[in-house]
Order: sequence, then structure tokens, then C-alpha cells
Amino acid sequence: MSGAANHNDARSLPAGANAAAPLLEIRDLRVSFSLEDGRRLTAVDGINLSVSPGEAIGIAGESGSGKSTAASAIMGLLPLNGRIDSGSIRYRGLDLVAEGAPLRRTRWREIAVVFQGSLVALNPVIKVRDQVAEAIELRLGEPANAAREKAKRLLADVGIPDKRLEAYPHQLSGGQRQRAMLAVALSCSPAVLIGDEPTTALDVIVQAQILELLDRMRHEYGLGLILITHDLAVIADMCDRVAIMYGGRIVESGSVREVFTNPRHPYTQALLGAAPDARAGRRTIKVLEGQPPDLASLPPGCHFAPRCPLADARCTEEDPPTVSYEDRVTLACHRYEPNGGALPAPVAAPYPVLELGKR
Amino acid sequence: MSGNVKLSVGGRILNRVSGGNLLLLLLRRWDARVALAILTLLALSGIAPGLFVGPLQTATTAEAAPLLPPSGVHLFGTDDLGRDLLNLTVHGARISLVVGALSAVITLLLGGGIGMIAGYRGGRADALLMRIADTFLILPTFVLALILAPILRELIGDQTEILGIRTTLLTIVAVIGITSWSSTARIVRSQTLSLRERTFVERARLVGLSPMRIIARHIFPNIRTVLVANGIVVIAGSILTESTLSFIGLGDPFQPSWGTILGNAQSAAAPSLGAWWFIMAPGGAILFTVIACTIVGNAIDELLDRDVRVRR
Amino acid sequence: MKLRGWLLGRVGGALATILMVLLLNFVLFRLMPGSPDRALARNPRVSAEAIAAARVRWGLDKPLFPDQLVAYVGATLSGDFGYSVKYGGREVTSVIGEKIAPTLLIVGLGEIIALAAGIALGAWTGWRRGKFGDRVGTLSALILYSMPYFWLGMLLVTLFATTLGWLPTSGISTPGGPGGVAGIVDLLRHAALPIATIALGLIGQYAILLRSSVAEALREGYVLTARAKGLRDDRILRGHILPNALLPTVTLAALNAGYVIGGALTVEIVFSWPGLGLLTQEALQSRDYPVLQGIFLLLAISVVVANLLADLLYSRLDPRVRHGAAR
Repeated sequence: MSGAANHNDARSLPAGANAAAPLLEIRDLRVSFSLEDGRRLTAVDGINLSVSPGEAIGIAGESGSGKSTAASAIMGLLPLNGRIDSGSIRYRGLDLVAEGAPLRRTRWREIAVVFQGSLVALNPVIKVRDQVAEAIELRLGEPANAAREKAKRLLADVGIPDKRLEAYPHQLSGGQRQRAMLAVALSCSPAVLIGDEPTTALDVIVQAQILELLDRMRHEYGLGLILITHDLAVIADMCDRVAIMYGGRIVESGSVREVFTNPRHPYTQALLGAAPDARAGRRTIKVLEGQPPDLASLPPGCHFAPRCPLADARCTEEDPPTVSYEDRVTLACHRYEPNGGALPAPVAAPYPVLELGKR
Repeated sequence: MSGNVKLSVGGRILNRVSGGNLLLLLLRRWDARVALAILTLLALSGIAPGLFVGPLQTATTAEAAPLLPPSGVHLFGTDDLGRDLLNLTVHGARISLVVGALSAVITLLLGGGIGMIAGYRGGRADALLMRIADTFLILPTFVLALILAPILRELIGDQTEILGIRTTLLTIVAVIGITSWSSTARIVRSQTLSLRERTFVERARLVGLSPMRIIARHIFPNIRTVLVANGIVVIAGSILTESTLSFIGLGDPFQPSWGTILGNAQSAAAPSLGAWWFIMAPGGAILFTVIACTIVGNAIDELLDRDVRVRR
Repeated sequence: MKLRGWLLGRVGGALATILMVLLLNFVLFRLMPGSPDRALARNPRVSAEAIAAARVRWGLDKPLFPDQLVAYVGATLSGDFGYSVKYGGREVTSVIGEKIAPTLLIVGLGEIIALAAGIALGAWTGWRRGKFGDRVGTLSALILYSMPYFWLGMLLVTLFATTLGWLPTSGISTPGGPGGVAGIVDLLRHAALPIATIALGLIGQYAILLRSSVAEALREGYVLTARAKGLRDDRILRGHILPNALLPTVTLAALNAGYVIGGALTVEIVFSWPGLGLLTQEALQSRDYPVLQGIFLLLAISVVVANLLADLLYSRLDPRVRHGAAR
């Protein structure tokens, strides 16, 4: 990517920043919203996350699990009725929760976001090239001409054809727009990129191209990646580690290999079993019944209990603690004892099974 | 990002809001409450002005001295003929009420009917109707009214009365109806278009109901609220148009509306004489009425709009 | 190019509308009692032959449809608008012609001021949507929007001219007044209140429209992107929101160009400003139908042209329309 410096040097880090540790560290983050009728809705209920240079973390979950809210919180883009109740978000050791200079400086230059709907996220009356150049000019302080040239090179790098370099958003195809959004996100050479459903609603080929692009960024420039999606296949392809979110909490997290091969949490098992896997020849899917919880009026205990086939009385009374096993997997489920920290074997959750193709 | 995806659909998809329901929802807002109170006052004054201030004062029955400023005896002062302005203003409400209501009825019938037909039928009928509507939409309402009014007056004559309303006013009503229906038609048409695609209409069509039936039983109830909102806007506009036409002199001197009173004020050089009360009373009445209508119209619009935004 | 086709379509539509207007004009005024040549007859300087020639030109001895209609359209297109009844048989075109400039002066300046102030007010309130500044600004705009222009004018005269004595109460100039630069100052002093009236009357519209455009734009995704980029508030407003939000307002301004002349009519009456408005009132009172017809035609055509210009303007400004969607 021409014009982008190597991330770990030639960049003036904010004073007091630490260049060796994980880039982004989130501890016990709680985010809530106040609703019109006065209730408070806890969208993110104490999550822990960290991203190191060159690492790709996937955050999986259904709609309403809190994944997007977490991303908004990291960027400091919560709407007016939302707030960070507790917890910390540290970028290279700097606290981002406190509003002010550290947060503003890190936006875009250190942490950037690619949103889902690219047509909506781009300004329809401004040329795409200028939208890429804008951050370069105004945040990096480069003169307008240089910024424009850099923007054009960036767009070419992400695969926008020459004749579309001066285009407006509506003149690009969906895939091109998403790539343009990527160029906008990368314009200030951030160290961390958050992708919120970046490939949803794109066709498979385009999706593959964009993911391949992200992968290249990761390996060439040490870009830290947070991929938020409900599409497990994408996470399986791209990510090193995964965090499964449900009802605002991370119910299971660990390396993609471990979690996807040996899912332990009942919800993870449901997620993995819910997709028909043509390649593995699996012609059955597990049926997860029920609805995601209403986060404004949660019953006590584990958020997943109402839908869990392994739930018992304790599950509906006590919140399961998050336990870390051998630093490989974390679990929040009563079915798994702390076990002195040794990784327990998975317990299969007996979901009803649906055979495909049967009439 | 924060769970608020704006789904922009062609027309707005509305929930049914029944009449009583609408009123209750409106009354929850303090601004709509004040506005409705003002409009109720207007309606009462219009229906039975005599109850509040006695019979309309004329040049012959006027007792006071001309151009008196407001006092305990004459709350709004007197005009250049010595008539009590409070009396004139309250009676003037009747004209505004009648003109507003009749104009709204004509506009809604004409505009709503044509809009529903155009939206439902589609195709050539739709294109033709909308072409005609566009022509009327473009013509400046006021200028057209200006031209039509004297012509109609010549044709129908000054002195005839229908239902106690002089023909001059009926002329104004007709003119407003003719010039306002097109924007209502456009709004109704776009609503009908989006309703047409919904499942329950599809079902009705498959079952074999006649178009008229479908329009009456399925489409109309859903656009009722839109019509009400639009009707209120039409009332406000018609009051302004009528006052302007009367100001110029096309009104009825024997049933003075607020605009006529202002016209009299202008002819009597009230501004130059500093007779501010002569100007404030009728003008203030127009202002409050139109603002009240606008507030209610906006409130209804906002009530409808809330159903559209989708939360992710 | 798709755009050119669309443009031709609009121009064609505009011409069609103008023809309909002509038709309307013809029908309406032929319904009047008395014939169009009666005005000519009043003018002692017009010879009997000229009157007879006019009758022939307008086809008055032939049936109404289609002969008179064709004759009327032909005559109008060649600039023959008939003769004024009130002004002793003078040509309508000359009667109207000398009254246009004063109207254009106050309407033009009023529009410009209203646009600038309305945009500023609308952007300011739209940005502060829901907060106190918004409520105050919107309420003011609402009040201005809901009052008849002429009433506003009367109030202004009462306050500034009569009570405070700062400005003259009416007319376009002081009789027997100074010429040259001082004359221009005098003109401006007389024009101040009429212009203020028109401007205040229009500000409400622009402010309310821009406010809602800004409020809507604030909910759009690209504003979130701009914030995520870490851009400052005023940069987001000027660089991202306004380019989108101004589009409807600019279109409205162009549309208004056609209508405001009608609205200025009543303002001219209040200020005895010798423009088209005063002319219209006189024509109404003296039943001078040829003049009324001419004014109507002028206003209708200006509205149609203004609409066309608004469309053209919008198509140039909005890249989505200018280039057409690729997909």
C-alpha cells in the first residue's frame, strides 16, 4: 500500500504510549442505553478483548448481541442516549474512555472503522476520491494536492479501476463501494481496523476479494483486525481468535481452531450447528428455538438460560463467571467447572436436529 | 452503527391510527393541546359569534367614535367607521371557518379521490391525471385566484346568497379548491402506490374484490390520517389565501372577514395614522389560527413518521 | 446522453404547460361581457380603420373556436397583448412594461436577503435540533411563515415609519426629491421596508426547509463516517451536511422566483409601491381585463420558466442526477 508507513515506527505516538504491548485492550466494558420509557438497556455487559499487531479477532453473534455497540464504544461514537458505564478501553496503554484529546487523536489515525452499508456511509454528493483524501488532508495535515494523489493511489491499491477514480459513490458497484470504504478507513494508516459486517450483502466473489485484501494488510503492515460478523465462515477463514457474544456478554472465546473444532458453550454449539455445512457433507442442522433476550428487562442468571437445553436451576439464578482455561479458551457457563484452570472436555448440548431434504 | 438503520421506503408505511386514537395521541403533546384549544375557540366563534359579542356591527349600527384605541369598553378598539373591532373580529372568524372548512372538503374530495384513483390504477390513467395535476400545481394559486374571482363574480353575480353565504365567498372557496387539489392528489397518490404493494391489498385483489371496493375498504382507511394532516394544511393555506384576496378587495364588505378588515385598515391609512389596534386584531387572529393549524398538522406528521424508523 | 433526453422532455413539458396557460387565458377572458376591442374604441387617437384592422387581426367576426383561439395565440406570440381599458387604449405591453422594474427591485433584493438569512438560520437550528436554540429559531420561522405578507408590511410601517419615523411610509421616492446619488439613497430608503417585508416573509420558508434537511442529513450514515474520521463539527456541517441539505432549498428558491412576484403584489399595495402589484389592484378595480390577462400570462410564464430553471439547477448540482446511477 503505497504511502502507508510501517505501523510501528515513523509515527509520532501520543505521549505516554507503549509500543510493545497489545494494541487495544478492553477490560470489563459495560455500555448501556437509556430508553424513551426511562428504562436502561445494557447492550454490552462486561467484555474483555485484546488485539495485538497483525492479529485478527472475530466477534460473532446474532443481531442484538452487542457486537456493534462494542465497536461504537471503542470509536467513541455512541449515540446521545448511550454511555460507557464502566470498564476500560486502552489503546497502547492510553485510556480512551475518558473523552478528550487521547480519543480524538486516535480516531482514524490509530483506529478506523469500515461500516456495513457503504452506500449509506459515503456522502453521495462528494467524489469518492475526495472522501478518501479528506482524512489525509485534515487529520494528517498534508496539502490538498498530495492528499488527492495519495487517495488515488490508495483507491487503485484496493482495486478500483482507473476510470472510476473520479467517480461518485452511486457510480460504483456495491463491491467497489465497499472497497472504497476500505480505502477511506485505511487513509490514515491506522494500526487497528474494525470491520462491522464489512462483507455482508456482497456476493461471494466480492466478499472473497475484500477479505483477501484485509488479509494482505494484516500480513504486510501488521494491521490489527477486529471482524464483527454473524457469518462464521468468514471468521473461520480470516481470524486467529474468536469471541462469541450473546446478550451483551462474551460466552466463549479462544483460538478459532479450538473454539470451532471443540465448541463448548451451548450457544456456540448452536451457532456452529445451525449452518448447513455442504462441504462436510452434513445434512442436518441444529434448531435453536426462542428469541434473543430483551436487554432492557433481563431475568436474573445466565442470559442464554431460557434457550439452553442444558440449563438448570442455578443457571436461572446466578450469572456464570467468565473462567479462563490455560489462557486458551474462556467460558461463561455453569456446566463447566473452573477445574483448576485445565481445559475441560466439551459437553454436547442436545438440540433438536432437523434433517435437510426430508419431506 | 448504534442500532439505528434508516430504511428509506418509497412511501411511508403507516399503522392504522383511528380517529379517537389520533386525538388522544395529539393531546399528549403540550403544543398540540394549545393549538387545538385555539382552533376550538375559532370554531365556536365561527358557529355562534352572536353568543360572544352580539350581532355584527355595521356602518349604521356603529355607535362609538372612529379609531379609538383599545380600552375597557372596546377591548380591541374601533375601526374607521366606529365599529367595535372585537365584534368584527369574532364575526370574521365565521368567514374563515366556512372558507377553511369548505375549501378543505373540496380539496380533499377532489385531490384525495383523484390521488387514490391515479395511485391505484397506475399506467396511463395515472400519467394523464398527474400531468393535469402538475399543470395546476405550477400555476400560482394566488394569481389564478385573482383572475378567476372577478370572472366568476361577473358570471354568477354579486347579490345572490346560497346557504347564507354570499357568492363572493363561494367564489373564493371554489378557486382555492381548484388550485389546491393537485398537491393533495400527489401526496395521496404516493401513499396509495406504497399501500398497493402490501400483502393485504394483494390478497384482496386475488380474492377478486372490485377496485372500488378495495379502495374503499383497504386503502382509504390507511390514508385517513394523511388526509387529515393534509386537510389541516389546506385549511391554513386557504385562510391565508382568502385573507389576501379579501385584502385586495375581492371579499364581501357586508360579511367582513379578517382580510377585509385589514383592507379597510389599509384604505383608512391606519398604518400612517398609527392605529395599530386596527391592524393587530384581525392580523393577530389570522396568525394564531394559521400557526395553530400548522402545529397540529406537524404533530400528526410526526406521529406518522415515528412508525417508519427501523431499529436494528 | 440520457440527461439530454430528460432535459428535452422537461422543456417540452414546460412549453405544453405554457400552451395550456394560453388556452386558459383565452377561455377565461372571452367569457367576459364586452369584446376586446372596446378598449381601442375609447382611444380618440385611434382611427376607425385601425379598429377595424384589429378586429380582423383578432378574428372577432369569426366563431370562437378555433378561429379566435388561433388568432389569439398568434397575436399573443407576436407580442400583441391587447389594449388597456383604463389607460385609454394604450398597449398592454407598454403599461405592464413600465411597472416591472420596481417590482423586480424589491422582489430580487428581498429574495437574496431571505435566502442568505434563511440558510443561516436553518443551518443553525438544524444543527441544534431539539435544543433551546432550535426551538426559538423554529418558532420564529413558524411565526413569520404563518402571517400574511401584507400584514407584516403594515406592522412595519406602523412601527418604523409612523412611530419611530426612521423611514418613509410609502411611495418610491420623495416627490420633488433630489436626483443623483442622493436620489439613489432616497430610493433605497423608500425601498427598505418593502424589501424587509418580503425578506422576512420568505425567511420562514427557507429556514424551515433547510432545518429539516439538516436534521435529516444528521441521521445519515456519512455523518457517522465523518465523525469517525475525527473531523470537527463545523467541518462536518460545511463540508458534508450543507452540500446535501442545500439542494432542496436551492430548488425552492428557484421555484419561488416565479411565485414571489405574486406575493409581492400585496406588499406593493401596502407601500403604494408603483409596481405590478399596484397595477393589478387598479386593473381589478377598473375591470381592465386586458391588463389583468397580460399580468396573469406574465406571472404564469415566469412560474413555468422558474420551474424549468429549478429542475436544471438541481440536475447540475446533484451528481446522482447529473451522472445517472451506474447500477
